[in-house]
Amino acid sequence: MSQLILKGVRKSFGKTVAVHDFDLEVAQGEFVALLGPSGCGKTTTLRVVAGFERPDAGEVRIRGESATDKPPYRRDIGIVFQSYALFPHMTVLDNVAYGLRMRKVPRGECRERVRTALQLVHLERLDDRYPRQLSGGQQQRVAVARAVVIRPSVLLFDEPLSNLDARLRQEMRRELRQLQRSLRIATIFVTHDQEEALSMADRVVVMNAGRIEQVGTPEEIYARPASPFVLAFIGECNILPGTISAVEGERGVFAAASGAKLRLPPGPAVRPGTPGTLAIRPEDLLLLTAEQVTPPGCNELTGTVTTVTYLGSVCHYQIRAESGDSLLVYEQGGRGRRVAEGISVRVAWRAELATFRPEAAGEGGA
Amino acid sequence: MTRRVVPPSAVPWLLLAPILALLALFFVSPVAILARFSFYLARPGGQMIPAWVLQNYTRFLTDSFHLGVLWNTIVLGLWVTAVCLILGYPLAYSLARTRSTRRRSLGLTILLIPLMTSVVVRSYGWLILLASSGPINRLLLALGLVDHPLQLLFKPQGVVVALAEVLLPFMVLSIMPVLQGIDPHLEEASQSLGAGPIQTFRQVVLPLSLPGVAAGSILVFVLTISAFATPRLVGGATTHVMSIFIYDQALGVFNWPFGSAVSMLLLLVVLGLTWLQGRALEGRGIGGAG
Repeated sequence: MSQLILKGVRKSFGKTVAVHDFDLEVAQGEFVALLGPSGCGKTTTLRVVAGFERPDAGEVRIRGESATDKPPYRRDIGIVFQSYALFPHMTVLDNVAYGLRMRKVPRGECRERVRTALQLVHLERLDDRYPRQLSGGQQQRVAVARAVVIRPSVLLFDEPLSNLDARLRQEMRRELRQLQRSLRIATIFVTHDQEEALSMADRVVVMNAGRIEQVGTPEEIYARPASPFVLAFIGECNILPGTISAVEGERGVFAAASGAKLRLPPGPAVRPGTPGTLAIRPEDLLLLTAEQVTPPGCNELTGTVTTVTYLGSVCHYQIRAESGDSLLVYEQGGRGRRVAEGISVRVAWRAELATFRPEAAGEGGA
Repeated sequence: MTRRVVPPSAVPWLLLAPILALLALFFVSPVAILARFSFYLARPGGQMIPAWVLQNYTRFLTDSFHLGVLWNTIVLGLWVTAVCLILGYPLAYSLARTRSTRRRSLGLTILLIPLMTSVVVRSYGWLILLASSGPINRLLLALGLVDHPLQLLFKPQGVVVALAEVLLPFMVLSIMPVLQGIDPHLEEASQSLGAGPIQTFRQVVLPLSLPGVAAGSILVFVLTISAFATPRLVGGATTHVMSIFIYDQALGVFNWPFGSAVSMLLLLVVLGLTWLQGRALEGRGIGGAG
């Protein structure tokens, strides 16, 4: 059964529509990330679930019961804010016990549950500290303990990691994910960080301008973006404009605006003359030097390396093709080779890895 | 031409010098003179003899009528503070939480109008409103709530209302910034944890706003017990408070030593409370850092 159902939720502020007809179901134990640029309506959606904003239309159901008209304090939700929002005049212990005291949980049980929650976030020794005496990461953990100790039906995170430094953020990602798995609470996680969404969530909801662009597993979102927005927003992508010049059997031939002729993956029939774009991820491109042989079934462009960015585990190459196209190639770094700038290279890819999108469809999807 | 070099550490003092000189001349020196007078011997007819005696102080502190004046003053201060707090806190909260800056500045302007009005105009306004044939009594009579006009004027209640009107901005402006400094997410966090609006107020908003409440209350209390014009004009001859008592001693019966001693006692109370207010504001700094 779905723990949380949003049906046709709409919310506007004045003339700005923040969320358009939003539908979503979150199952018990599922981790859903709302991903999108700032102002896309993801936080508004979260606030509608929490009850801080009343939707103009639509319904919110928590555990099968309509919650649309319930105030936040009757909704049985746990929320972790970006600012953590710990009560500064209370100790860690009192912060975590707050929700239990409001629920009139007996003292003994309350103490036991607070202790378990603090153990869960590895803070059992700091229960008499005040929030200002804790580091950012520790405050974050207290906020998580405070939200989960009440065993909510739905757990909400509003960009909880964006105030932490990069290393701590990575660590907290893993930890939050583990915690959520072990507690099996339906979770919504709002973020503008695609890495966070892809690495933590069971399902990702990509939002743009108040609408859902795509819902899917991280793999689906990355490998089969449903719209040009998703394609551009998630990861880097090489995009070549052009038209279909011919159809050979099941495959089309794509003529890039720059003049290069490229083979398309087999797919739904396209008519010659159809304008569109060819998209390919940088990590699907192979960088070949003069002595290397192009594998069979590959498209190929020749060019020159213009910039090399070595990042340790990966290496980014910017290639200027002879056709005039600019291509980004990701190659495994580490102890591997490092092709120098100015070297003549060939860029190759298996035709299956690229996606052609007719122009009309591209406009319709935006 | 020679260039005079000012050491950098002297610059703040140079900038402060004019106002310090002004304060020394017109504030510190008269107070010092009063302090000296308070130990003089008084003779009937306004004469005073230089001396070092404590009898002016002991006279005030051992006489039940005089202590009654002090008590009246403190009670008046508590009433005005309570009224300002009850009216001011909700106002400060709504001004702090409104999303519209226009509404906030409009509210603040309306709030500050009494302060920009002369005390004489304000007090005569209250005289007209509170008079036995004034609008308030006429309304009460017309509504049939009373049979005969109420005695509103020249009573402590009238003084409380008139002082609360002008001192309300001090309360609101002390509480509002503290409330604005409280992260609104704290209230949302409290609600998400199951606390209704009343619990959220009691557990989160009120405790965090106490430094502002303390600062505003002390400010209003101090300004009330040292107020002179409003109690005199609205309270009439029956209102016995310290400021009026001092005035009568100095300019009514020309007993400057006794009036000075009472002034010093009032000043001590005010200084003590101002010091406490400073402590309350420090507390706010600590609270804000969390």
